[in-house]
Amino acid sequence: MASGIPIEVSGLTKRFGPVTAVEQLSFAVQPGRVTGFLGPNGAGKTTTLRVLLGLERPTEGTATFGGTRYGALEHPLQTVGAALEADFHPGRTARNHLAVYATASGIPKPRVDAVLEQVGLAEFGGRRVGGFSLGMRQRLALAYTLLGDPAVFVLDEPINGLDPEGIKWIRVFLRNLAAEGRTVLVSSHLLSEVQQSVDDVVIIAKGRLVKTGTLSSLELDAAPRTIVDSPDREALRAVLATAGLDFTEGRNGFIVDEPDPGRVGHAAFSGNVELSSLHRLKSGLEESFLTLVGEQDDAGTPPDSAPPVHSATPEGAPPPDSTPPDSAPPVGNTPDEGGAR
Amino acid sequence: MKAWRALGAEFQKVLTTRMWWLLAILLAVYVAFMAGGLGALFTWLAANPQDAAESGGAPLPSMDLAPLLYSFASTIGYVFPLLLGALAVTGEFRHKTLTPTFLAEPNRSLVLAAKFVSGLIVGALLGVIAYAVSVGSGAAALAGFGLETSLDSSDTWAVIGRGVLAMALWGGIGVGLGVLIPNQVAAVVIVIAFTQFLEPILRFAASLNEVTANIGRFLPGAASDALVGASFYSIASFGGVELLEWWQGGLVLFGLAVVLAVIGGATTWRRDIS
Repeated sequence: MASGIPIEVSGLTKRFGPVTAVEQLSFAVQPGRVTGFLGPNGAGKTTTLRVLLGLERPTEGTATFGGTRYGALEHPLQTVGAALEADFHPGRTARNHLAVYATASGIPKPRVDAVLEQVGLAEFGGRRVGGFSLGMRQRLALAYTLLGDPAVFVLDEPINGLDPEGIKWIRVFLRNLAAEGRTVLVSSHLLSEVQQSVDDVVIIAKGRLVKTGTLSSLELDAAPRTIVDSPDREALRAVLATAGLDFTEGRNGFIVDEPDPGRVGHAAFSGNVELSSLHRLKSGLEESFLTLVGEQDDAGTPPDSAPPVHSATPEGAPPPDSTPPDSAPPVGNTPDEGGAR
Repeated sequence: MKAWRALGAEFQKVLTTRMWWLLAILLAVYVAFMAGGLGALFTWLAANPQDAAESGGAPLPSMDLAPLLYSFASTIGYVFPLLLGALAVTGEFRHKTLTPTFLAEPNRSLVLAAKFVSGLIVGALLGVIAYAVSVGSGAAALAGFGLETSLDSSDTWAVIGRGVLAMALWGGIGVGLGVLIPNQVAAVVIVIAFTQFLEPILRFAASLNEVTANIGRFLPGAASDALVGASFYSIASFGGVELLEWWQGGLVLFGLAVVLAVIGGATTWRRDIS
């Protein structure tokens, strides 16, 4: 394994006819760390990765591995392991699929079984890929990346389609790669999917960079709020409105735009309303993320602090599914998300 | 070194899916049926000229039947390497396996060249299978009626050798066609429509007039028959048309394969892979 190769993207622009998929994108990905490449679907993540891997030509700018374009790498698979959309010939066995590319790259045959073993597909090597589940295809795509024991990993939505056990497995897998000093770039449209594995984040929206830095730097100033509930919601609603507090109704109570639970409790107390819960809703990473990738032309009003609703919300603003401390309240900020899966 | 690896990978791609042997079996059955079945009929006609005349059968031109029967392998079988070559390329587009292919070898021209050469080799392999079957069943039919099998003649073996070469070239043409028309369904439809309907009609129509007949000789099927040097078609309906020299026929096929591959390689093969 060659080591310490950073990914460098500089001034990258990619247009498809009149559509600009990626615009003036610049970022760097460091070795020894797992970097999450995040953004909603359609933000330009896959296009960026395809340009980086030499599958598409950039309109402007460069994308290199330590200064070398993918197409100019002496031993591509031994330098970069990449898994994009998991596509295979359905009639070929898993082992033969890998063997074909091992041949093309001059990688010795025993390596094929070694990587199948590594991703937990050892007993399925002789089966045709057509019968594989999505999770098994994802693992086979990862096996492909491991063939050349490369220093850099570029993985497009590798968690998509994995079961909980698979997700746990890939987290450990990614951490281990980084611990060995490799460069790991993992794309996802869901921060929550990768937040337990990544050290750094590169966030794009609409083809432009919106944030790059460590994961912890994401915990921005999205104002903390208070969540409150009462057995008598109508009374609570009246009290909150009287106190002049902005709020939205969720399944587990009202989410109040007020960082201090004390003030909310006081308002309820003054109005003689019994409370069943009262606590602070910490602004989560996901919330910061959604704020960053939200509608940017809505300057100043990130969509998740959209106009508070004072009336009941039978089918208005969708209520959050649940309100544990980290949950992001209203969904619908990412219109092209089409439901996370 | 890199070129050998790319060729090895392309060869492996063909041999690790079922398509090649499915086509090989179909080809063998088809050729056995035609060379053996028609072989039996022709040899019966040749062996019993009186009976044939009485039953209204046309007298066959006095020519050596053996190479005619043997060459069925490529005269009717050339569509198989053509299909296999086209499928080898269009399958990569269809199953989106160009992504791992170009990740493993970013030099696309090298990949295409390797595909072209593997198309030639696999075409030759199908040619060997087809000729083994046609010689086997044709010689059995001839021997059954006590006719000369001509297997001791070097001319016969020259026909067989050129037939295998023709099948190899058709494999290369398939690769060229596939890269020019990456849509698998479209490519297969074109292969079938051209080889089974369009070309026979064109060849027949061209043979009606002397000027067009000279152009018709350059049709790929006619060039292929010229290369092999013996063909059922040449006695069936196009008897009057002079074919090209065998080497000219070979050059026409090779030129067609290269032109298709180069045009495809400069267009669809260069595009963004998404």
